[in-house]
Amino acid sequence: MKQKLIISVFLLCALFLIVNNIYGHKGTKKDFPSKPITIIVHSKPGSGIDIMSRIIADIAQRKHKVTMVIENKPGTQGVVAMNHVLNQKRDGYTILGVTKSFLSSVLVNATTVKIEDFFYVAEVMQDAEVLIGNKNTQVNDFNSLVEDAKSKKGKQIWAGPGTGGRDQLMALKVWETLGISGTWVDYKSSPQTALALLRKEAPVSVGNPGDIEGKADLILLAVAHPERLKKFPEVPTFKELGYPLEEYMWRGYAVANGTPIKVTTFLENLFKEIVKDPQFTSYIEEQGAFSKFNGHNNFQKKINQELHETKLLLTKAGLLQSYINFNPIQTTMIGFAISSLLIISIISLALILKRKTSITIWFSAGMIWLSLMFLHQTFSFIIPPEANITSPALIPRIWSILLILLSTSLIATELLGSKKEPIKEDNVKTIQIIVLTLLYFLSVPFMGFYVATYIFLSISLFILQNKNIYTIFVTASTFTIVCYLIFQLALGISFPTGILG
Amino acid sequence: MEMTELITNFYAGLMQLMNFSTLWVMFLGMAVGIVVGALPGLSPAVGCAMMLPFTFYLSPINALLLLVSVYAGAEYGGSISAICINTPGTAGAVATSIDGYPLTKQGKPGIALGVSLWSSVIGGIIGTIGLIVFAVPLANLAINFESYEYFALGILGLTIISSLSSENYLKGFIAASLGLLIMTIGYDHELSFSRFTFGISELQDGIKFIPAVIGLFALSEVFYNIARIKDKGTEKKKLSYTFPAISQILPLKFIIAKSAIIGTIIGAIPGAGAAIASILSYNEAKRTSKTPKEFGHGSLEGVAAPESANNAVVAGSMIPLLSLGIPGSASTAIMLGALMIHKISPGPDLFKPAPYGHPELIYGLFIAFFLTNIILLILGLIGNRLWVKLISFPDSIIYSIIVATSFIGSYFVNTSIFDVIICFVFGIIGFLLKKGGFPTAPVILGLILGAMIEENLRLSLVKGGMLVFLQRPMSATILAIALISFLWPILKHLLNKKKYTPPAIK
Repeated sequence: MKQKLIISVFLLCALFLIVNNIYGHKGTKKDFPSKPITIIVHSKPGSGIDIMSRIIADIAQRKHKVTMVIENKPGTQGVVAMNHVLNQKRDGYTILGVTKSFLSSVLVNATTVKIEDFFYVAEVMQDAEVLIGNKNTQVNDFNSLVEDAKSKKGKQIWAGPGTGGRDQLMALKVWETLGISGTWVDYKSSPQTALALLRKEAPVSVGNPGDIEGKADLILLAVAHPERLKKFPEVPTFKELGYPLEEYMWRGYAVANGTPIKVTTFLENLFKEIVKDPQFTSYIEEQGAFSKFNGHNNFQKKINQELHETKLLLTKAGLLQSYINFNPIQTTMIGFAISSLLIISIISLALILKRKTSITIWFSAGMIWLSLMFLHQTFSFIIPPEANITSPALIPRIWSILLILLSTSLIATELLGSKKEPIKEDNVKTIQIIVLTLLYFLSVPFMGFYVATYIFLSISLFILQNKNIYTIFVTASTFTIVCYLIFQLALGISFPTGILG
Repeated sequence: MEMTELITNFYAGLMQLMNFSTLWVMFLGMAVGIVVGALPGLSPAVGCAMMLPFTFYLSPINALLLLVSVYAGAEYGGSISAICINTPGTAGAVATSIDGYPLTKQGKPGIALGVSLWSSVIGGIIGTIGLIVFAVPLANLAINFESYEYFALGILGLTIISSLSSENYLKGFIAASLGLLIMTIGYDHELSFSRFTFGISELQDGIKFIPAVIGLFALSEVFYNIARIKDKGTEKKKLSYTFPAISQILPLKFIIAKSAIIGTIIGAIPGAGAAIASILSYNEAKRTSKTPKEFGHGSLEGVAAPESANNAVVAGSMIPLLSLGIPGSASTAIMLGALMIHKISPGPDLFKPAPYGHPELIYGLFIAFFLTNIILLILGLIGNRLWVKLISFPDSIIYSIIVATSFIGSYFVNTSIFDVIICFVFGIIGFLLKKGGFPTAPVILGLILGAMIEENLRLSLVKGGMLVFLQRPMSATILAIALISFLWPILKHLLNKKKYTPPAIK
């Protein structure tokens, strides 16, 4: 008994400390920043902007006593990250790492996010666009590239990671300026693009100087920068070659519109200092890029101008066209109607055959329903005749037809096979726990992780034959405390705190 | 290279490691890696990214070693939660849970954890030997592995369905097709439109793999078993603390070695990764096993194969990074970043003698790879007792905690509540699958391989067309192996049936 009391008091104290730590800062007004600033990065850990942001966070911590944490929100070429930032409190504690590629991704992707929704705080680096080739092929300098392109009459393969992104736009610009043409092949990622060049499959790719880092056979053919690069002094610029082409990628940081001006000024000054830091400049220059600071005014002006230019280019390339021809809700309704018909017919069939339906039959019917929905949608995809692609309907059609065939045969074997008596089970508890799980998952954003988890664990333990209040208390408390210790304290990642936070 | 030069290089490498800080860095990295790996939702890459800022202040070799230790530790750590609570902590541990979790249910988690640890360690060591000896041919393989071969590899991975679903082929194939079909959801970058998102903008990025796995494996297991909880919720389970004896590990030596070779080769191919390596080696282990019937019900071979493979992947993935400068995974991309911060660019130049290259770094890394595996063994042996203790609580407590862990795991993949909902939906799908007697693993397989198959088929058709798959020796060979490996279990099954049917007719 005494032991139980001591454990209880100990757990209560720990819980109190955690509650105080997580929710205690409320209402205390201090100068910005009074808590860690989160940098949202639109790509996976290890990407260029991710590593750059981590270096910035490190400098901010050491030299300026500002704590920054990096959170990766990859998806839809930056749209997921942009949406996330717009949905946070506009207090400057959530900032977005931005790159020039965002200009095209918001235009190309069907999204409600706009470039204009953000306040662009500072530009921190610029990276020239370059043409990359393989020195062991015939196309080993700029002139041979142009000759090869002319002889292949539009069949020359230009490799790059992605469709509709900066690299493809650069390719389009080059073709226009030089009066040549080529075929853009999307190799999905930078490593795969580099491999395509290494195995001489594509003679040229578009990228940045850092892309050839460590790949001995790859060389730069031309640089879209006014001056030659310090790291690659032997590579000519487009200007020297007689073509007035300048194109570079930039990276910077932005906050959602409506963030207090005092905060944005603080951030702008912070970035100004960081860009000067030798640790930052040496990392950036190592990749053949430039650390370059532009404050809000210049940065914003530049973005407005480039957004206009990007729109023109994308429209010209036919990348802003819509390739689907349906209303999702209408299509879903049609799919629903088909499914209902199907299930009714299966029930009638079962009744005619005097067979009991089983969960297997229901599930297979569900699979047929799902496949029909998918199959039905594939007929509304429009594939432009000039596009050099494989139809996006091909694979989904294969899988959905396969699934329909397999499910139909399973239903047939089940209906025609021997009758099996279903095993009787106590399903009440199962349903209780399923509903409880759903409620728990949905309640976290409102109640916060710790509160919701505590409540969930207590109820769930109670349902699952554990009526001992002390065990419930100890389990729920210990789990919450351990989560806090591992995630918040040791790993430095935080859970949603909900309306209390 | 001359022998003396090699010895000098290894000696220079060894000298790099002979200090307290290097060992400390490796222990730290390994411990962080194991924890990150065991926590579902945190991938090896997240662990590496978290440690990246520390590398700024370390010497280049220590920086690299810290990240390598985290990576290797995480690949092992993923198996802990896969075995204990059927929640694979990493994609590479999915195959481990197929046989690891049944062992826990039989009250033998210690055996499963022990086999996983020893296989990881031995697999890691064999992978390291592969890295040192076969770096050049494997780098050539990586260069020549085109979209045709990636497609063929994906198809080869799919053939495991036929061996996973030996109880009912139709049900297994349905489950796999479901996974493959679901994987087509998401934004189509080539034509720039939302495919099968049904008006839900969060689906633009498709179904995330980890939340789906956690739902299908962990949540569905909870839902399915609730009706069967017998305990009163007070007494602890009696789990065996016995760890495997040498006599249990020794018979696994060929499986471990074979899987490590598969892991090293797949690891060297950029973008293929631990998930595919572990699946292929699991399949290969089952195909050649004397007791294939035990697979799926707690076979030790089924635990050893994927674990050996996913740790060999770590060494294998260093090959394209070090010899071509191409990072094949997110973790190696972070290593590339860490090296560049230290003004070292990986690639063939690294191997040149100083001052142009950094042979001491390369050879130091080679030696350190052996050391990390020994450290893994030490930390793993300490940790295993703890894990068994943790899961010996009553089922009611374990199941409640699995639900909360599912939330954490699916939430942290992208810190998004939508992923948590996906996890729940897959929990229900998994529950229905189990109720209907369908296997759940093929769904996961479809999710792992679907994107790789489609992306590379589409790219190949644009580049060359259908026939090229058969004209290229490598893709043709892989496809032929796939066909055999697909038909083999079915044929064996049919032949066995024939053998046994005559007496039944009589």
